[in-house]
This record gives sequence, C-alpha cells and structure tokens, in this order.
Amino acid sequence: MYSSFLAEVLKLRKRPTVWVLGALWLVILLFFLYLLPALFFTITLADAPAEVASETSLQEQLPVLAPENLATYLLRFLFPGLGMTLALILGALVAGSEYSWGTIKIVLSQGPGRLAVLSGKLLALLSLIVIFVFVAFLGACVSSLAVALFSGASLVRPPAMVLLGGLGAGALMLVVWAAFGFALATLFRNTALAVGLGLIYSFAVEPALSNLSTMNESLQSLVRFLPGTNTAALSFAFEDPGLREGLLSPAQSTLVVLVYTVVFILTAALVFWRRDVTA
Amino acid sequence: MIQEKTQVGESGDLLVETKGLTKRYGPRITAVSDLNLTVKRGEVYGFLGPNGSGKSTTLRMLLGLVRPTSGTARVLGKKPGDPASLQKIGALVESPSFYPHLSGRDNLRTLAYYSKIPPAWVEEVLEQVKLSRRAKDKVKKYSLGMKQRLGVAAALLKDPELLILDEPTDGLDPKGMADVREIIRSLGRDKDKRTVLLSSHLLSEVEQICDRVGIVREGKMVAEARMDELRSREGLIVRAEPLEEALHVARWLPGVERAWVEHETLRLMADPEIAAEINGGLIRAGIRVSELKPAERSLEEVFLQVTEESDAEVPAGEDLV
Repeated sequence: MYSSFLAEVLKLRKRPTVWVLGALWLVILLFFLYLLPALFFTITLADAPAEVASETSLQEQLPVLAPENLATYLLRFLFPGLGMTLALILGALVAGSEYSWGTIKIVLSQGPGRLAVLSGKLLALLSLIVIFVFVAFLGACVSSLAVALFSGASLVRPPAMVLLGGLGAGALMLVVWAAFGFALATLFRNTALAVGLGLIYSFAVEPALSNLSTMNESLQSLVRFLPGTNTAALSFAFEDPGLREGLLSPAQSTLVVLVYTVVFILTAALVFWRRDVTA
Repeated sequence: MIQEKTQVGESGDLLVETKGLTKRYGPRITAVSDLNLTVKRGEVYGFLGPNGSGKSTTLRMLLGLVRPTSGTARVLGKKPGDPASLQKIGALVESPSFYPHLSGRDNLRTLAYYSKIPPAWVEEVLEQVKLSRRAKDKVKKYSLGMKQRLGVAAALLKDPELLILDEPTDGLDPKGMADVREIIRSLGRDKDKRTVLLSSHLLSEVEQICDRVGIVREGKMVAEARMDELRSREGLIVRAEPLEEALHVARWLPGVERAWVEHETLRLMADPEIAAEINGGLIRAGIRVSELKPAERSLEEVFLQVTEESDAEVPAGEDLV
C-alpha cells in the first residue's frame, strides 16, 4: 500500500488542479473571511463620527476575526460551503481521473492488488485533506493576528481544546465529502459526473429534504441523520448550545459522519475490487 | 535488473494457458467463447483476429483486469491478476494511456512505485526506447508514436518474463510503426529471457516476428499453429505435364479436396503429408511431374481465409473440384 501511496502522492503533487484548488482555498479564506470584512469595517468607521470611531475597535465590531475565535470562525464560514465543495472535487479527482485518462488499466497491471491501489489513493487523499485543513488554520492564524495587531486589540489564543477540536472537526467535515466524491467517481468512472451529482445532492437535494422536513415529522428524523445536516452540526460544535438546537450533539454528529465516511469508502472498495476494467 | 525465472509447475513451460475461457457481457454478448490458448516460454506468439473478435478482452482477462465468466486461465503458473505474477508481466493494452500532466519520466516513476521497481531502472528503459531526450517533457506534448514508445517502456519497466502487447503499432504513422516494430523485434530476439504475446493487425510484422500464431474469430480460436505449419496448410503446388490431364487425374486422387490451375501450375488442396501418394498417383496415370512442393501462403491469406464467414474463395476462372 505504501508504494501505491507514493505513486499517488507524486501524481497529486505535480497536478496543477490540486495547486489551483489549494490557492483558491487560501485566497478565499484570506480575502473573503478576513481582508474584506476588515476593509469594510475600516471604510465604515472612517465615515462614522469621531467619538464613535474612537470608542469602537475592529475586534469589538467583528469579534469573529479575533485570534481566539479562529477555529469557530473557520468551522462556520469556511468548511461547510467551500470546504465541502473542494473536498468533494478532490475526492472525485483522485478516483475519477484514472478513468478519464484511461490509466486505471496500466496501474492495475503493474502488480499491486486492487485494494492496495485503492488504499494508496485514500491515504493520499486523506493527507491532502489534512494539508488543506492545516493551511486553513495557519492562514486564519496569520490573518487574525494581523487584524489584532492592526486594531490594537489584545492577543488571546483560542483554547487548546477548541483549536484541536476545530482541526479535527474541520478534517472530518472535509473527509466525509471527499469520500463521497471518491465513491461517486468510482461508481460512475467519471470525475465531472461525480462532482455534478455530489453538488446537486449537497446544494439541492439535502436542502430540499430539510425544507420539507418542517412539514413531516418522520422526514425530520431522517434529515437529522443526513451527511449535510451532520456536517453543519459539526460546524456548530463549539458554539453555544442554543445555536445547535435541533441538531445532533457533536459526539453524535461525529459518529454519523464517520459512519458515512466508512460507508462511502466501503462502497468504493467493493465496486473497485469487483468491477471489470474495460476502459 | 535480474529476475528469477518463474517455475510454472505442472504446466511445464507454458507461461500462459487457458482452458475454455469465456467472457459474456449480459445474455447476448459473448466476447470470448471457450478459448484454449497456450503460450510457451521463449516464444513470440501472435494473437490475431479481426476487430471485435475478443483479443483485447482475452488479454485483459490474462492481466486480471476482466474476470472470466467461465473457464480457467493460468499466467506464469498463477491466477490472472495475482500480484506475484503481474510483477513479472509487462503489458501494453490497447492505446497507451498516461498522466498528461506528468513528464514521460514521472509517468514511469509513478509506475515504478506501483511495481516497486528501483527508480534507476526508469532511465534504462527510457534509453531503450530512445526517449531519454524528451523524458522531461509533459506527456500531453508527446506525439502518438512517442506515447506508444513510452507504453513499450512502461511494459519493459519490470524487465518482464512475459510481455503482453496489444496492438502496439495501432494508429502510428510509418515512422512510428518502424520504431515500435524495431523495439519488438529486438525483444523477440531475446528468447532466453522473454516471452512475447503480441496482438497486432500488422500481419506482415507478425509473420516476421512470431513463432506461433493463434487466430480468433467471434471470440473463438479458429486456428492455432506454428507459423510454418499455418502457411503450408494451403496444400500442394505441382508442376506437371500435360496440365489439363494432370488436373483431371488429381481431382480423383484420394485425399485431394480441391484442385485448380493457377499460374501454369496445378494447385491441390490436400495435406502436404500425402505428397508422395499424390506424386505416385499422377505418375501412374502417365503424368510427368517435374516439381511437387507444399504451397506456402502469406499470413494475410491464411488470416483472411480463416476469419471469413464463407469458405475461401477461389479467383474467378479457376477450376474447382
């Protein structure tokens, strides 16, 4: 499995798409989550009366930008939308591109077993997700420090448990969607279709079910156990309990997300192991 | 890099052996039907057939890419797809496919990781297929011929005991064909080391390179023999006088299925093994026989005959028994 992992890492490391997605991830984080809010606040403050401007600070107005809130800020505003989309795309790319390039036959005729190839891919995908999570936290750390220094606010680091929990929850949120993309791409032997279906599910099907569930109680119980709902629940893991109303507890959401991840991986493994390679 | 020769056990020197190999896709499509195929150690085996005759499916089954519906196959003494046997098989299945964003060298390095081959070997095979100078270019910039050579390099990466090459010259221009042909020729010469199972449409090449040939049609093996046997199955060429009388006599000789005149010679559809009996029969009838030899056909003629639905056609104006 290790040699398959090394092969996969070489492919991913030299793949421009991965770098573009990584850059997009970082730019959106820096620009939309830190720079733009800070800029808007500064512009608004410039128009405010002098006594108001002197009595307010950036961190008072936008506490989410403070270093101590970086984990919760990222979990709520970066990981659920952009994070899961990028993870879905990465999962689909890792599994599906072999089919569109027709390279799967040459890989499987090299000698590693099918499950070794699959494990190597999954391990490389997991490593990539972990890198994305760390890059996000590092970027947020630098940005929030810059905001704090700029506004002259005190530097308070987030509680270690929240930071570590945030890293774990963030990784888990991305992993389940990456596994979903991976499974779809393996099932359909196609990257674009997998990404399309994954996005339709996450942005149309599950929200529609969620809306309908307000009218039907049994549907409500079903929605509580869907991957999107539980990804959202994880994004509120470190918020006040009031904000988490109607969602499963963080521990329960973690379990549900893990179960989905395992189901997606097992589905992909079963299909990959059994199916003829005719492309 | 030196690999230990595989002990293939009970099957002796058969590196590939299939028995009743069958692949069906649904109830209506039978890609391969009851195929018995043997490839001996050290030989270059030509696997021929028209498009859609089941060659690629067969080769994919031998590599474990496609599972047979029924029948058995042993490759290097093991089940197809067994990682231990795949380590000793180099394969180029249909058009070569590579990672377009990687260079030729990185593509081979990727495959070397999968095969657990030392990266140094990559340079050697690049040299072997004359791609060293372009090794750092991305594969998407390669011509089809270069991709095909890279495909051969990928197949050679493991210094394989068994090389499975499926249409290695498909889609190439004459220069590309010549390049790949030369590589295959050089591989075929190394009989102590390498066994080659080659599927190709280039019959003239197969004719020159291969020791034995199997021809499939609609998934079934319709002919399998040594190249010389296959070509001499046509029958006999007889130079005799008077020709018309010889034709008349030959029609009634036992063992002669068909007789006709072609290029001022008598052509007989008969087993070359009974040439002496035929000679005796003609002489007893007072015919002067100046030459009697097995008729050799080109592989193309054999191929066309065994793959066509109808019996072999005889050119117009020639006499049939």
